[in-house]
Amino acid sequence: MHVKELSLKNFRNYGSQEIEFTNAVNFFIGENGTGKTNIIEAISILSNIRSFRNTPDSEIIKWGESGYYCSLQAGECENKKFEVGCLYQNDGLKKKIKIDGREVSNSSEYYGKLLTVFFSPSDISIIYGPPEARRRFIDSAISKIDSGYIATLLDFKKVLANRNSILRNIREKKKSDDGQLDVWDGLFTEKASVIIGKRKAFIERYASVFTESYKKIMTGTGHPYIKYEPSIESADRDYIFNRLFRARRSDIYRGTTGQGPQRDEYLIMNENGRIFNHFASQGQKRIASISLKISENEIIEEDTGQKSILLIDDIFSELDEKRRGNMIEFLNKGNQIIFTMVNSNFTGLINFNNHRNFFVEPGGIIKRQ
Amino acid sequence: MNGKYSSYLDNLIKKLSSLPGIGPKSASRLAFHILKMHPDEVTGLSRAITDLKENIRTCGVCGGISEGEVCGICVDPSRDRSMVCVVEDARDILIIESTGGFKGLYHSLNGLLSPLDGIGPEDLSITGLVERCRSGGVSEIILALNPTMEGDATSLYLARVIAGTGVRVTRIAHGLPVGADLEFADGATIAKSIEGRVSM
Repeated sequence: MHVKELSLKNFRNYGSQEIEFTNAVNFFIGENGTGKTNIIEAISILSNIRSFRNTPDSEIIKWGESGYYCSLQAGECENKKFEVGCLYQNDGLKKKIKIDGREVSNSSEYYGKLLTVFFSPSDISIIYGPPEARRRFIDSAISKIDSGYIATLLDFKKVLANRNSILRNIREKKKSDDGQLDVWDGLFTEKASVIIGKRKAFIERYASVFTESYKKIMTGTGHPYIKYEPSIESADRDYIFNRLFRARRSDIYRGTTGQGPQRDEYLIMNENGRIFNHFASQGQKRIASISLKISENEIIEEDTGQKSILLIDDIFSELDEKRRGNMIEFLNKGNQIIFTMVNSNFTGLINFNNHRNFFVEPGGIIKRQ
Repeated sequence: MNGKYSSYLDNLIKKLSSLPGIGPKSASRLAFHILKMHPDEVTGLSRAITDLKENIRTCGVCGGISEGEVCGICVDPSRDRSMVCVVEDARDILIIESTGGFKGLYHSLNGLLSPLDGIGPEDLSITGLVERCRSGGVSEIILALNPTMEGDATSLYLARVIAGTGVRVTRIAHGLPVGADLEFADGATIAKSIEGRVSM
């Protein structure tokens, strides 16, 4: 699939902007702070509803305006038009999402409809950040190929919050409440079993694709691998329930649930079986983070039979010329690619046919060349 | 007057917009409509509201709405007294009654378990339900709670509590709405439908 046309209103630094893309490679070139990344942020919001920057919608609205709106026309996609609007109304900020003119509210209705993979300089934090960063990344990847997963995950978070609330209540009142705990443990078990099973199955496929991608970009020897380390090793319901049951006293003491998918870890190890992050160079970490995203894309394409849109936000600066070349070669498989970059010299280095350059100037003015 | 048209109007708008589902704009539309209504109609409306509050109370048996000690459904001799349908609140009784498809009795819980909101079993009308099961005559409890996380937790909790009384506990089917198309159903609904399939 590809983006044909993007339209922005009061979005970040853009008052009103329309952009026509080519279905091959699009470069957005401009100085720092001109609004290049805002273009791909809009596309990613239309695809995932939330900003990859993790900023609230209120900060996306252009200064002094009461709302933003963005829409895009898609090609080679089951759906033709995607729209997201956010407006301040009497009782707060209201967000509306439409696909082909029909309003959608359920996350499973929009997830995976417009497939995008986003490469960002901050992806490197998936490699060295806290376990939560890796969980969030893998969860989002699974959601794109399994529409039921996100719903189970949201249910699980709710169950966990309720269970923790009961634990704290028991601790404060010093009065046991097994009747209620049994019920929430049952629900916890049901959801956790699905999540653990799906994470296991996903990593089984993903791990080899990840190592392969890294090899292709980095070349040479010594390649990292990714390993799933679940907090509860089995997806078997009885096993999960028993683990929870046995930990009840310590959970009550701590006022929180000490085991379960919320504590799962994905370890990235080097060829010697040690933590990759502790020994890798900045460039190697960068390549590992790019490989994570490329592998995500490969799995999505394999499962959906669709080509996703690659959004690439200025990730070249840390790569040497050879690796940059390897990466471009690897990515150049007919997907629509939207790059942002500060230096237009890079566009010449890259051997793409049918590309379009956009020059972004201060004040959010886009000139096509 | 506080800088606006009239303090009477402001007051009514404020009162109306405190109702669920009514924002300041709808409230002002309603207030202006009331202003245009015939005085008799307005008196009728306000009387209907006070009458409702003065004459309706909670049924001592099922927790539904009632004009007397016990509601019309609970005293109706033609109802099947062996089946009790458990609902979240009295409004759900009205919804199920309007279908005419259920001829048993009801029990309103007045809420759902929600530890996050501080609502535990002691805040719901569960003791009353267990008493009804123990007092004999009831052979089946039908749980008709919404398929949300809180609804599921409450159903599981009730099933455990009622299990001790020997009464059969069932829950309403979850899945595709009647007349719906598979094509437009979301994944979770289809999964539930397959899970809850019945033999033919």
